[in-house]
This record gives sequence, structure tokens and C-alpha cells, in this order.
Amino acid sequence: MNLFNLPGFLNLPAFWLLLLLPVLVLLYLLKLRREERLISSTYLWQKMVQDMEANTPWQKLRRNLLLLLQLLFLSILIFSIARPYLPTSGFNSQTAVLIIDTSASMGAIDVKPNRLEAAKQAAVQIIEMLPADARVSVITAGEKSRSVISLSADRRAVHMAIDQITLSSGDCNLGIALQIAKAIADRQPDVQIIVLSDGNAKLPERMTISGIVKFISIGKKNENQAIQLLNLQANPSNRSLSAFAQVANYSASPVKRRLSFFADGTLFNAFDLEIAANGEQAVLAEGIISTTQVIEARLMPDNSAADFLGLDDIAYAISQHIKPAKVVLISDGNLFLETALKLLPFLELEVLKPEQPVDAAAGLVIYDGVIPGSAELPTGNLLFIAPLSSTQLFTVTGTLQLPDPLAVEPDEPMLEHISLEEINILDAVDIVQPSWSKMLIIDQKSQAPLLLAGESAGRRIAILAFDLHHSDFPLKVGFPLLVSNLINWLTPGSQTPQNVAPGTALVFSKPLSTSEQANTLEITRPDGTTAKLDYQGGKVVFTDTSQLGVYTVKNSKGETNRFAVNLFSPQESQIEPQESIRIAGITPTTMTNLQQKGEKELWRIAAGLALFILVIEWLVYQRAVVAMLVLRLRLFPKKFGPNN
Amino acid sequence: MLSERLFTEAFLRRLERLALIFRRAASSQMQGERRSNRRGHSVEFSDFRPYALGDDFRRIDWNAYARLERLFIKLFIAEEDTTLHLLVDSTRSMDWGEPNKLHYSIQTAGALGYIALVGLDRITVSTSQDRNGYTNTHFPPVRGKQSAVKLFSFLQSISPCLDPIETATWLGSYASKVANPGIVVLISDLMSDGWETGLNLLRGRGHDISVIHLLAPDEAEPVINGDYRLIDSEYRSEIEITADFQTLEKYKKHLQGWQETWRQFCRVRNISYLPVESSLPLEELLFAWLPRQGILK
Repeated sequence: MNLFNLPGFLNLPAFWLLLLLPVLVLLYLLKLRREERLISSTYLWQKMVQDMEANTPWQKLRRNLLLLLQLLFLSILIFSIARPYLPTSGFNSQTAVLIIDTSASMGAIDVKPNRLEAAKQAAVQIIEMLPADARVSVITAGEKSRSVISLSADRRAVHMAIDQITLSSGDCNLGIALQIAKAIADRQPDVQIIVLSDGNAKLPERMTISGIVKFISIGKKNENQAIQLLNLQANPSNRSLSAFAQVANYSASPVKRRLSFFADGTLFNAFDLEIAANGEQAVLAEGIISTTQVIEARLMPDNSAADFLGLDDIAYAISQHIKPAKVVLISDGNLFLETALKLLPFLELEVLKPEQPVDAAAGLVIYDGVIPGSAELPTGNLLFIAPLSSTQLFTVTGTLQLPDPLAVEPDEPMLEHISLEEINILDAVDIVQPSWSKMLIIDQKSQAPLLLAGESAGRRIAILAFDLHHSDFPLKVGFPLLVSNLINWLTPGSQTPQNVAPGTALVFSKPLSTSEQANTLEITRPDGTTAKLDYQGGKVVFTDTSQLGVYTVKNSKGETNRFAVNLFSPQESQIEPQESIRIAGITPTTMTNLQQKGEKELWRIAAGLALFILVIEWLVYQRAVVAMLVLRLRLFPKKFGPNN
Repeated sequence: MLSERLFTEAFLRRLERLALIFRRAASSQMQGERRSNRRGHSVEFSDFRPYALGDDFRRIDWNAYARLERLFIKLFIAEEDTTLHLLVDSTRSMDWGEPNKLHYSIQTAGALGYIALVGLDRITVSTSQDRNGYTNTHFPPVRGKQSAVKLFSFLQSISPCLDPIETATWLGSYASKVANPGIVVLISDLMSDGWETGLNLLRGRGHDISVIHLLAPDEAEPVINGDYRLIDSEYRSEIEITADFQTLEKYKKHLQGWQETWRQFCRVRNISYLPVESSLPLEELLFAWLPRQGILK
């Protein structure tokens, strides 16, 4: 990028007005018919002019002083109409906040070596243009925003900080970065916030920032294809897996690409795709052996199609249900519930009579209309349905007649898509809400809970207050959904999300019934590095999911699990650089290259100069008046009269 | 009476109190009232000398003969008249200004001439001549107060020359025609070359010369502003000037320098030099400036 600061003009066509200059000269020549004046004798004048011309060779020029002044005035006026500007480098504030987009789309290689490097170079150039004592802050905007250096006047430190910025693989949330910048800007005078990004970012809708916001668009091209989705579905009937992938083309022209599927590293299928411009194509790969653990979909490199972003060409999916959860149903017989449970995949269901012993390894024990006989509750998670009496976990105080169910929170995930209207319930037990629980469904009349869920002593417990046989709920569409949701929540072993977006924080619960000593969770990242994390309050929060690929989780019991981090982000795959960013409340100035940016318009100065010249011209024109004023203040020596 | 147009009676009576000063002894053929360096007939005794053959014996001092028995001739200071030569520049450049320079010089010449006539001096007037003739530009020498009417009518008949004149030729030919030195008063604006040559020629004849350098007010201080093509009224030559403050300042400086040059020129040659603006009242010129300059008393 060329950073020489040459002055320019915003209104170049104004220079056609220069054609007025010859016109002015012509008018002047036409006008310059000197007034003829008869005088007694030119004797003295001639002598004087000879004298003067001998002394001042530019005397002739002086005669045209008025013309020269008028030409000068007109030229300066035209100059100012042409709106000259000085590229003051634009970066002349005392405090600069650089926001560098480090999101996945900045890895596009349409500018060499890639957009992030280009942005870093631009940032270094901008910093060089700043005043020597200017203080610089640098904020990275990826899936997480971070201030890498704050208000530093030490250029070396700033350069090092910029040098160490690396590409993240997630979305770009400019809003957070701008909030950090705003926090700096609000405390400093004369702040410029310079956003270096391709503009494909999550923007706040409205924001106010004190200071100038400038946007430098990085990137040139938009050619990119991306795997937008990769899903692994189990086919319970023949115990095989199906992989569903969706490939999008973000180019403005159709492309041909090959999508290959790898099962645990072995190529097993490939599809040749023809994707229309800005189009999508779905692919279904069936017949994957159920023991497969990792499916990898890869858009193969192809010379015929430009694809500037490689991060979104690979996607991983993990076969999640390797170990079915063990569920024990203790019931006198409940066809509705058994049927609903059997519909759930990868569930090992055991139906027991109330008097039969419960397997301690059971992940979930369902007490349908019964309560545990002994004071010792099983160690797994618990679901109580219409408990007859109080237990150590809750207290039953009576019965409710004809309760009217109502969802406490309309957007409760566990009640998603479940309609509670027109559900008739004969009666329900009246339970006092335990402190550990949260009410999901209540009786509209008595506000008593009908469905409770919560965690107590490291296990998950749910209580359904009415007997399914005393209700028509099992006949409604919502019933299997509610059962599915409840069981999913109560069997957290299968809760690891299939697709994790980069930067997402994951929570791992400590497995139940593990010894106090084994308190470490091991997570192996795609690049082979391992993080060892200690459980805090029975949980581990893992946030370092910025790498794309397959993560292996080994919990304290030695059980391994996997999850995949994929860039399924149309925002990032759409790599077309944006010309501007729009945020209500601030108006970022877009700079397509660095030198054009800081134009300081000079027309006011030029117009002022023209006015000044005009005044001078008028004074010269009225010089007789001026001369008279001067004369009044002067005494002339006596020239006439006898010499004595 | 024509003279009334030029001057009032009262003014003329006041003029009669003035007299010309002749800074050297007069010498002419005519007897007048002006003391001569020659011996002549007057009432003022000068010297005795022995009688020589052929002397007029009426002038023998018989009283001396009675005492000394020798014949002596009584000598008296001759009292002669002198001639006032009024040279009036009547070129076109003189016919200019407010008040008009030519009219002003005619008035001055009339007043000086009247004073000379009253003083029993001879006077003659010459105006700058063109090639066409001599007669109507020359007023031949006259004497006596009675000639004043003729003088005034001649002066009033002066009209500006139609053609430019050769100043040096005019003054040179005039100098060659005049036999005896007299008083020369030149009234002119001196706005052409050749005046120095002419004055040198006149000076060579032993005249007592005074120069009245007459300028119009707008020549001394031009009131113009802007771009002009100035046209010479006499020579029709043109000059383009841009009259701004500086130019006018330069003009004034130049004018002063020019006058100073003339003052020097005249001082060296014992010529009386008097710069006058035509706006100066005539009375002030005659009763104050000229006496102070030693031309009148």
C-alpha cells in the first residue's frame, strides 16, 4: 500500500473553470482602453517615467497589478471549488484504538499472505502515521474480544502485540470489541477508533462512541465454498449411520467441487457437486458403520474453483451414542411411559416391579407412582411420577383436584413444542416446591407445581405431580416430546452437543460416584495438546474451543468422549469484503486504502485566501482613497515661493 | 479702456509705487532716470576734468575758472533709461490650468511693464513665436506712461502658438537683436528642452535676467487616479501612466527635483529664479514675492 501523502482534489472537474482565466484576460484587454486625458505637457511625466523605468524594470507589471490580483483571486477561488484536501494520513489523533478482526474469514488468502496479516500490516502502517506521542490500544475481535495492548506509547510493545495476534476460527463479534473501544474512548480526548476487518461481523444495532470511528476494509474477493452443516444421524433399525452435509457456494459463479467423507480417517465416499452461484447443495451419505466414531467431510482442493478460505472446507461429526444410557423404570405397569421410552434411541430400559432391587449403575431411575422403599436412594438421577408420599427430597401435603396446567416460562426448552392446553388432569399430588428445584408447570388455580426439575447433591431430579393414568396427556402429541426432553435432560451422558461453534464454553459435569481423588478432566485438542482441568463444584467449564476439529474428553472415571468444533458460520464463510459497516448512532468513515482516508479539506483556507486577495484587490482599486488617507497624515515640504 | 480689463485704476495706482530694480548700471543711448556708469547730463555732480578742445563750453565751471584760472569741465552722472524685456512664453502648454497660466503671465507682464513705463524705462515684449511671423508676437520698445494702453492691448492680443516653437532659437534670435543689456523677465513653465541654451545666450549679452517659473496647480499636484493615456497639448505626444498613489508621489518628487535643478542653474548664472503657481494671487506676487526676490522695490 502506498502511503505517500499527496494532496488531491475531491472535485476535479472544477478545474474546467480555469477556462475563465483567459476570458478574464480578454475582458481586461477589452476594458483596458485607457482614459485619454489632455494635459498641458507630458514633459514632466515622460522624464519621470524614464526615470522610473530605469529604476524598476518590473514597472510594466505593476500596471497590471489589478489584473494579476483578479487572476490570482479567480485561481484561488477555482482551487477552493475543486475542494483540495491534504491526506493528513488521517491518523493524527492522540489516542488510537485499533480493532483487528481475527475471525475465521480473516484467514482468507485473497490478499497475500492472508487477510489477517494484511490487517496487521495496515495496523503497523497506521501506527507509523500516528504522532510520535500518540497512545495506541489494540483490540482483537474474534469470537472473543480481547485488548492485547492498552494505551501504550511504546511502539515496540505495540508492534510486538500486533505481531502476536493470531487467527481465531470463530465468528467476529465487533460489538464487544467496540464496547471495549468505547470504554477507552470515553476516558480519552481525541480518539480514533480504527476497525480493520472484512466487515463480515456481528454488529451492534445501536451504539454511541465519543471519537471518530474509521473502517478499513480488508480483502478483495468473495470466492469461497463452505461446508455449512454436517450431521450424523443414527439409523436404529440397521444400526448404521447417515451423514448429512450441506455445501454452500458464496461465489458469484457456479462451481464444481468434490466432497469426500472420511470415516475414522478412511475415505469411504465422495460426491461431485455442482453448486450454482450463491447456491447450496445437500449431500446424504448413508451406510456408515455404526461403530464409526468420527466422520470427516472435506471439500477437496480443486484448481478450477477459487476457494480463498480453507477453514470452512473441513467439518467433523462425532458419533455420539456409543454407550446407551441405562434407565430403570419402577412401575406397576405403565404402557404409555414404556412405549414412549422405547421410542427413544440408544436407551437401555429395564422395567422393575417396586419390590425388585435397583441396579446401582443405573443412570436414571424412574419411580412411577411408587416411592423408594428404603431410605437409601439410588445414586443416579431420579424421576418421580405422582409420588404417593414425602421423601427426603420433597414433601407431599395433599392432593389437587382438577389442576389446570400452565407453563411457568413459555420458552422453557424442556417444554418446547409441547402444548399444555386442553390437557385434562383428574388429580395430582400437592407438593411443596423444594429449594433445589425449579417449577416448569404449575396449576393455574393453586399455583402448586405440576412439574419440577432441579439438581440436588450432584444429581438431577424431576417430579411429575400427576399420575399419567389420571390424565389424557399421554394421548396428546406433547407427551412423547416431554418424555424425550425429560429423559435427555436426566441422562446427561449423551448431552455433549454434536456441533460446537468455535469459542463456545462447554460445561462438563463430574460423573457421579467417582472418588474424591480423581478430580481431573483431560481434554485433548485437535492439535494434540492436552488440557487438564480440575472439577470445581462438580463442574468443569472448558472455553478453549477456538481450534477447529475433534476434541477428546477423558473424565475422571476414565470414560472418553468426543466433540467436534466446526465453523458452521455463514457469516464467516461469506468472505466478500464489506465496503462499510453500519451501526446506528455512529457513522464509521470507510477507507478503502490508507492514504485516501484522512483527507483534510482545505477549501475553507483557500476561500479565505481568495477573500483576502479580493480585499487587497479592492484596496488597490481604491488606492486614490487610500493615498488620500495617507496624504492627510503627511506634511509636504514647501516647493513654491522665493528662496530665501 | 482696454487697460481696465487687465487692471483696475486702483491697482495701477498701487503699481506706481513700485519700481524695477536694475542690478547693474544702465547703459543705453537714451537719457532716462536710471543712474548710469557713464558721465552724462543730470543734476547729480560726478567729477571735474580739464577742458579739452571741442568740449561744450557751456559746461565749463566758471566758478572754478575764477578761482583757479583754469578751465574745468563739470561732469555729471549720466541718468539713462533701461529697457525691460518681457519674454512671455505663449506656447500651448501655457494656455492651461485654472487659473490659466497664460493669462496669469500676461497679467504679470502687464504689471511689470506698467511699473517700467511709470519709471521712464523702455519696455518691449516678445512672445514665443512660431514660424509664421514675427510682427504680431513682438511689441517694439516704447517709453512713457502713455504707452501703457498700447502695451495692454498688445498683451491682451496674445494667443497661444499653434505650432510648437524652438525655444532656443527664439531666445537666441532675441538676444542677437538686442544691443544694450537690460532687464529680462522670462515668464514660462519651462516645459520643453532648450530653455537652458536660450537663457545662456541671453546671459551672454549681459542682461539682468529673472525667470518666473509658472506652473498650474494641477501640474504641481495632479488630481488623477487610474489608468490614463496622457496627451500633450503642445506636441500631441502620448504617454500611458497608471496614476496611483506611488506614481503621484514619484511625480511630486520629480517635480521638486526639476525645480531644484533650475534653481541651481539660475544661481550659477546669477539669474533670479522664482517658482510660482498660477493660483498665487497676483498682488501677493507683485507686492511680496517679487520685491523679496529683488526684482521690484
